Amino acid sequence: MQNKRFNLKALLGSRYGQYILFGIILAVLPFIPGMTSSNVTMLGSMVYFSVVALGFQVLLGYSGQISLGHTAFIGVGAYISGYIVQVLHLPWPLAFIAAAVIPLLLGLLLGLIALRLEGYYLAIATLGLAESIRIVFIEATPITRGFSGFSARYPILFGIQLTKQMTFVLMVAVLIGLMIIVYNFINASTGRALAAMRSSEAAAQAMGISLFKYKLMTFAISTAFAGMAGSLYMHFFRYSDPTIWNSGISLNLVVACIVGGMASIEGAVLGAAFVVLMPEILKVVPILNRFHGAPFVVSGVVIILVLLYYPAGLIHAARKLPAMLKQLAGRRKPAAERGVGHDSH
Amino acid sequence: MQIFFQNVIGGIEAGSLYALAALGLVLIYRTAKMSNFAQGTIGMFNAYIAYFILAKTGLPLPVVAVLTVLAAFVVGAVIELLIMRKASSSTTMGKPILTLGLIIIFQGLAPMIFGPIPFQFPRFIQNPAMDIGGVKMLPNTLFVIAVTVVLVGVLFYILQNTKWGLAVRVTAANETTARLMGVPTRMVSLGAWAIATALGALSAIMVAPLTSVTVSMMETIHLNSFIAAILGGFSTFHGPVVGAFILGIANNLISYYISSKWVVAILYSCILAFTIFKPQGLFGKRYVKKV
Repeated sequence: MQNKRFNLKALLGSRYGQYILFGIILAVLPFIPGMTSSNVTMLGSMVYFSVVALGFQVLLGYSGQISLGHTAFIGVGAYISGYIVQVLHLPWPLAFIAAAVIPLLLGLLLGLIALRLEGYYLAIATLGLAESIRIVFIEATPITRGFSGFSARYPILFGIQLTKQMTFVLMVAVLIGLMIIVYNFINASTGRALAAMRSSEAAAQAMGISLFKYKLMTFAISTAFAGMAGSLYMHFFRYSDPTIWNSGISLNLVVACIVGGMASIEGAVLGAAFVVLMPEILKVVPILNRFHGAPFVVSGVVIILVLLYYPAGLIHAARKLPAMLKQLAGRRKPAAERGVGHDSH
Repeated sequence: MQIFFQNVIGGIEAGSLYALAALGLVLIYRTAKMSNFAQGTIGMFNAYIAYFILAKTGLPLPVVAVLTVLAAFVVGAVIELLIMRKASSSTTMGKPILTLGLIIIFQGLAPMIFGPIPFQFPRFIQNPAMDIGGVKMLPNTLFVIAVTVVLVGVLFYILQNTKWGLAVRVTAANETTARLMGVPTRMVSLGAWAIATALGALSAIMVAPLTSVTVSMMETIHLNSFIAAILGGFSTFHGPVVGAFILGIANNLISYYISSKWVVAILYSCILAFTIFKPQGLFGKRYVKKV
């Protein structure tokens, strides 16, 4: 009995255990009685966006580069996955792999050219690529069906047609799997190389770290994640057209990583939740819901405030919360000591 | 041949708009060492302000333009004072991301203040098209080109021949040394933001008649001004202007002679391929980092 409890504790103490527990809680949510279909849709868009944000975190948070065109890679993943399943009638897992591999190759190709320069060159190159790919989405009608839109169905996995709720569970499973992969990746030699690069590129280079190799690697990972998320999007929302893949998504990715917390896996997920839930919450705020652009303004103001005054992001606040509550509770009891405590602050 | 010139003239007009925006980008890039991704969006916001002034007061268009430029000065200065200056101690990574925050704010503010409906904006010169040797051109096109040429000329004169221009150039070369030598670098970056924002606003009110005033009106101009700056080289002031005209003309010629559907994709791929061979751009100097 004692032994069993100890094991559970150890499991929950490790990151893997925490991620899996988080996944189980998330996966159970759609099956709670009273959960409406639109709420499940919202949760689904949170999970799909978390997958992209996780990849984007590797790029922005861990390797310190910025892309402004990731929406294009999500779109590519979505159309490829949709085309393979709906038109070629191949199984979804294959489509999912293709949706990861093709954006990855695209990312490698663009990275080979755009990463040779320092600074914000990648941002502009990806912005240009996103514009070019958007035109492909519009014009390549045999594959994408242009503005009339591409429809897909929920995935069929091992011969079983999934429902909306089951597709959501599948998405959560993918997210948790990817979180564990990123965690391992970041805590291995690659992660240490990236940390060195972030603090000083020149110093990292002097220690024998190939900047180009790691930059290319992180960029390719982020595009592959975007492609996978695209596949999930296609088969959860079951629809895609060129207007969906606009630059707003690329900007929201930056917001998610910064507001959630840079260089943090949990931060990316928290940030994605912020980006998806905040406009929904604003819809019920009395005065703000009458204004058309309020969610934008709130996002923009929050990102600037976080960057200027709280660069660690929301995840840092969330982590400090238990300690802060403990401190608060501890302070309340000995009222006499409070004055001393104040001085030392 | 007339069609060729027709396309070239159109390209120069578009190039003028890119050039103004690109010059604004480079001013900030050189003095504050950062990319201002919000230039286009702030220009869009200023176009809304211009429409608002025009609709409420009914003043003649040139007066509206002057008032808009003044408003843009204020917008640029406020951004520099309230946000960018506070961030100057943070990493260089943070500053361009702050401008991404600005994009999102202004994209929300414009419909919040002025409403979601697109507005029509009049041309500066309404006269019908003239026929010059078989090439049809609107007087407004010539006006746009003329304004750009004069503005770029005046700016270059100030940069090269005045004390203020010298201050900008030394700040661009080495901010710390400039500050130690008594150059008011804070004033320089404030001025750079104000002028860059005004250039973006001018670009926007000249685009407005072609696209109407909408939230997305500046997206193409903004992206093209960035690409023009890459093509010409971010490290000079004249490179991006030349790049802008090349981009404008090439865009029209590819669109007419090759494919109007795929022009953007073709153009961007060509420029991306070009940077493989000349990563610093046409006029760029190689930048060596000292540790």
